[in-house]
Amino acid sequence: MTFNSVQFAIGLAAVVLIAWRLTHRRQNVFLLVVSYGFYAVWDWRFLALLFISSVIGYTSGIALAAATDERRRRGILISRVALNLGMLAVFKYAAFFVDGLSDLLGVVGLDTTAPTLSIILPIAISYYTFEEISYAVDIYRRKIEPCRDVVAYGLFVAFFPKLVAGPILRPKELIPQIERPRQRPDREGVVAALGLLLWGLVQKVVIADSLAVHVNDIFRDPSTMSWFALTVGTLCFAGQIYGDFSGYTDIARGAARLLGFELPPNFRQPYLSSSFTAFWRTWHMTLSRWLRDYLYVPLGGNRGGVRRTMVNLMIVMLLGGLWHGAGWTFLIWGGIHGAMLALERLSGRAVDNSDEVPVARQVPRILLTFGLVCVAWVFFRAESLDAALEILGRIATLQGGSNALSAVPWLLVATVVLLTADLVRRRRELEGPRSIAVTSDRVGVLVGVAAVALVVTSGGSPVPFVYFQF
Amino acid sequence: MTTTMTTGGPTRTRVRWRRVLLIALAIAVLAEVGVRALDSRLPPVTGWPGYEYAVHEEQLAALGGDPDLLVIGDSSAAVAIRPDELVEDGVASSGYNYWLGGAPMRSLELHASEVLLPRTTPRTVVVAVTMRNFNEAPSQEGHLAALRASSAFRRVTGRRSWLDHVDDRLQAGSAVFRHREILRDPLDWSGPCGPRASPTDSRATATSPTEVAIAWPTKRQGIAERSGRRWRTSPCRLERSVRSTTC
Repeated sequence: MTFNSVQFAIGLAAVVLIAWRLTHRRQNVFLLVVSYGFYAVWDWRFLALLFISSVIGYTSGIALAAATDERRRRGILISRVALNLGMLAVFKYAAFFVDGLSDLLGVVGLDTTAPTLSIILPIAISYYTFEEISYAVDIYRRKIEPCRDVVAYGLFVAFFPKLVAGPILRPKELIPQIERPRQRPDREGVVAALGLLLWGLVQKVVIADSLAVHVNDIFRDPSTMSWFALTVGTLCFAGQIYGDFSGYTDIARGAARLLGFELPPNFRQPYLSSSFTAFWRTWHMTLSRWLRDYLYVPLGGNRGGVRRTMVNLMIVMLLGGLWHGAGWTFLIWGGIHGAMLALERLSGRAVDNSDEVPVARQVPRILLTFGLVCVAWVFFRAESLDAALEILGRIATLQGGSNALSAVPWLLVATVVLLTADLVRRRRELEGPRSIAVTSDRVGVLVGVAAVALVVTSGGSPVPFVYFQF
Repeated sequence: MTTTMTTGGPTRTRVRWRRVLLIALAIAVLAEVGVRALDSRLPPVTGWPGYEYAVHEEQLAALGGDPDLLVIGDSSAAVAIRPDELVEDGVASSGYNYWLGGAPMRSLELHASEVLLPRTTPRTVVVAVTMRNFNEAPSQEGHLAALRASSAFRRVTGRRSWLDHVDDRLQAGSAVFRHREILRDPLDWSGPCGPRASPTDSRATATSPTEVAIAWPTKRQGIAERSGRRWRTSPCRLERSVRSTTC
């Protein structure tokens, strides 16, 4: 049941109506049951994994807070984090590392036949594992008290709007909202939530899914495509992944708001960034802050001089790439971002424009950053390393082939819609609501156009959210 | 009905929701009227995930729907196997090449076992595959998902849900719903190969596979592009290719 399905809309309406008829305690129990049910619709086989992980996280949190001996505390933390990472290693990375080891042994002349591992990746494991690690680490650092309510902790791990693809929440962001009675949203709150749901659907269904058709066609067999088609395909993918993930996050935030929760945003107009530093402050913000708080800072952050900072950035981004998927393409994607962040740090010329309305003189830098981000997207999207290199090679050498012209109109539509929306939001965020007024006529036109666009783009095959696979 | 609306952050603006709904409704009505005006010029709704399915279905029906030899495969099969030559060689009395561009093995298997074979009785089935059909790639998952989700597939296999019935009602009442498949990708049905025949015309003349093949030239351009290098320079060349797969 994806967020862009009719079933989800009906289910969400029913959950909201029922939840607000219950007392606070029963609401939490109800939402926990609904969240487990939501997960079971995806894949009931891994419900036990989610449950066991939650129980261990809950008990180890209490044990961690109760322990006074530093060695014992450290032992509990290490075993807890090792268990989480072990789950990820088995389910997500085992096949990748076994294959890699086999290849490595082959290089040194030892011919081995690696055992074939066909382990299905449990959906959402990357997200709830990171949240549970941050919970354990925050208790260890005495930043938070452990959650004593097993239902509240279970809901922190499994809350259905954010379960499958984030945002990756800090414990102190969600657990207090679960533990305290929530306010039923008033009319303004409901309208704001519905606005997020509508805009999320437009980004996902109208923009991302329409682009996905062309992206799939172009990336399926790059050897037959011209440099023009591959460039258009790469730009389409940049729009697709933004619309897809940002759309998902907005739907998740809208659904949570209807239930009285506030989830943090994940994006702040990332393609308006004039540097990779600014890009990572506005793209998948909850992942980048997790990587900063629980990986970059413990590694030493920027406290060990420029060289050490560059190494740390590289490690963090390589692991960030690997978090997205067990494959060389993701590793290289992370490596490109790490290298660019390190270079910006080395040159001291990183321009962070994430808190500025872009002006004309910034456009060349913005386009350069966007172009390099798109180069990295090729590795992210390509079906293999060879395919990624072939795509970049064909673009660089202006190879001929099929031009895939049917993708161009959708690319233009996506560019206009996403760019306009980003510029309007950036300006309203920084210059206040009066900079671009929301009038009834404007809202009416937007709602009408969005509704017609949703009808036109609905009815095709449902395209799963890109980030569900991570 | 007047209220305030928050749109991220502390912004508050007065919005009259009755007016918003009225304007939104006016736009929806405008779109409906516009599409209804185009109704007779738009092609028929197929329900299949790609136009090649629809072309094949019409050609297969024109052949009597039950060839003696059936070829299943992707675009490689279209290039590699000519049923007319197999018929000439006496392998079968009639043949049809039901190739699906870019189809992975799982799509071919699903389509053959649930769509083709239950309603045909070929004496010989040729499954033409290459290593690429067995790749596990996201785009191939998409191909399978698209086939499974298509309304035509669900209709043929009898797997219609209540949502399909709701959709039928909406399509019957609204031109925008009915033609959304075409509106979504208008370039696929109007292009360089000349004006397309109206649906009525194409059905009226669908007495032979050749005539069916000529009815949707520009959509086949899309098929041709997606099929790869063979037809990229001349979209209309696919017509000849499609014709050559029938006999």
